[in-house]
Amino acid sequence: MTATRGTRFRRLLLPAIIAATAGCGRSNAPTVAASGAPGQQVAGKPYKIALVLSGSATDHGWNQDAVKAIHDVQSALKLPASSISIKEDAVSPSQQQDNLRAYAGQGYNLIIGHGEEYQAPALHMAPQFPNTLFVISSGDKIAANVTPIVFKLEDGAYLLGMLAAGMSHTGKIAEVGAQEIAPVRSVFSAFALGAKAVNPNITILHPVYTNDWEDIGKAAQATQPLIQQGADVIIQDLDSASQGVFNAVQQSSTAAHPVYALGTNNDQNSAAPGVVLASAPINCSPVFVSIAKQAEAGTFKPSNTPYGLPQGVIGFIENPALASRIPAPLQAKITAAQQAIQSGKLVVPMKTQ
Amino acid sequence: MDITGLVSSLSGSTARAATPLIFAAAGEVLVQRSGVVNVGLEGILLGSAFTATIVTYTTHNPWLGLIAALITGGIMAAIFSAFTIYGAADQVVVGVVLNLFALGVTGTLFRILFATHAAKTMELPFVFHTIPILTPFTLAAVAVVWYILYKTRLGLEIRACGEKPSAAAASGVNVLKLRTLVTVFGGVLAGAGGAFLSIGQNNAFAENMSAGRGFIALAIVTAGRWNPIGCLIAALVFGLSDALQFLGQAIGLDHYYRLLLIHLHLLTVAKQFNVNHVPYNLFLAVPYVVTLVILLGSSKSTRAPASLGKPYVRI
Repeated sequence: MTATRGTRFRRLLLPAIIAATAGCGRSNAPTVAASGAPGQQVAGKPYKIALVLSGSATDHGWNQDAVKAIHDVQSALKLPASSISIKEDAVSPSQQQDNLRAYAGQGYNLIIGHGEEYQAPALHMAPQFPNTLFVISSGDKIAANVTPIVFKLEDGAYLLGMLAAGMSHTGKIAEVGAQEIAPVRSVFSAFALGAKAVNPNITILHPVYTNDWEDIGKAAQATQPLIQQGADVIIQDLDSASQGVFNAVQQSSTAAHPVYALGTNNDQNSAAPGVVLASAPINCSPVFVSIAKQAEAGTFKPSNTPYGLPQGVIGFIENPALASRIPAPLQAKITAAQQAIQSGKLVVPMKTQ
Repeated sequence: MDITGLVSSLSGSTARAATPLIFAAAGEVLVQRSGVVNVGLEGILLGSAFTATIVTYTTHNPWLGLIAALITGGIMAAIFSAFTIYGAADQVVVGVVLNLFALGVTGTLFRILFATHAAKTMELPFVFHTIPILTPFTLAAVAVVWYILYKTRLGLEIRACGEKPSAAAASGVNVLKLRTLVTVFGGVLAGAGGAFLSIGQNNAFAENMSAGRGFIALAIVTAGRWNPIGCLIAALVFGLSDALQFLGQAIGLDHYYRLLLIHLHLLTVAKQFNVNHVPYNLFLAVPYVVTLVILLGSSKSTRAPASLGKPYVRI
């Protein structure tokens, strides 16, 4: 019994150790020569695309949109269902890295790590898999076969900020996030910039973080002290947990003292139609399809050009149920700013560090 | 700053954070005093939160959702009992399996049922506008558990089962039956905690929404020294420190910390050591650190039930 277990242990562990040490030593030099452009279709082999998610595919937010987009890619490239593989709930950094490596090892042409957290492991392993194109949603760094997708949610957040400052009676607005990562901070700073454009004296309370993209109760708990501090318009950057912010806002909002929330990443206007003023959704499909098409043809070049409102990747949707409450002069300012962003006249800054 | 508003907001926030913990811990006190550790509490919270949502969603009646959650809690505890009490299986192992089972099943069913539309439901009513109706019932749960444990013959038998089950059996107590009964009762109470998560405090289900509260409840039972009133206090301390840390983030303690550094001319030094900023993670850790400190304090002076976690096998 002991002998068998020992053998099995060694059989499993040894290749892993070899692979790991090989990986460490040679991470800077390609181990395989690239045949064609990264992510290019190899003649006679099926084209394979993988999507790795850190959360659940049904979060009605960030991850679910990526799943929808990958299916759009499938139909745009006319691929069979077997060409698409989705791995969700890669929660820990080691799972995230293992999933990327496993797909790359299986010869996937295109691997999308849906979140900034995939950038470091992808940059580390990319030289070993020169034929694979790693696409990092929300990343910012470029390598020979690693490309970021810079979602400029800031475009939408700026407009949400204008709306928040214009709709606040108390002169105080607030932010709730899950993790204080660069994209979240950048969205909050664009929100503040938009708010200041409408009301330079607006107070933006200190952001509150929950460290949990799914815990609704915690999100509600985080929102209550902000409302208590006088905030009456609240933006959030949370996935499934955003419902907690909406609930807390709903519970505090009265006709005499309305409190509002704002949606991000998805159209969340219907999640709480009485309090969500507007949403800035991300639509992954145009980017995913464009990258996949170019990669398949072998013409894709890694780039960190942001995709925002002008590219149709970021939207700004006001809640029709509450639209009548937005004063016309405020609406005119927002529409003008939206057009300026659209035409490139107004460029919302991104805070990368 | 508006002090009355602050106090009412803090106490409300504390009560809401503590409610699921009190329900789960109150039941678990009784369970552990009978000699059983139900490590599956986390799974029971999650499973009952899920059935509460499903039943409320289909019947549009949150009260039926609550009843479904209580039944789910009871059934899951009964499954746990069947393996651990009658099957004498390891309680930690079965508990962990129950947790993983609940996580998998609720996740899968949730995706099948709510793949395209949000799982928003009606919620249970609130009293005084902001207090979820289940919250006051936590006090009733604690009172009932306290009364059973210390004022009834049943309570004496339960404690005997936890200390020396062979002696209890010799005096005519059916140890297996009593432990099962108590475990199922604990499951029903945890079911109320689960219902609070999905339809009591909120109006939606999210995958893994119990988020470790079952494990915190286990820690609270120990921190509360296996006494229902001790558990109530421990849960409130946890809830209060959670509410305080969110308040600390909201009023910008981090900002004041930096002002203090500037005032003390320490900012440049602090920057060198990268301690010029209080990370939000430090705030979030506060309730857990507080729980650990209480656990440390309580470990010296108290003793767990002597037969805790040991299956009773009739000879």
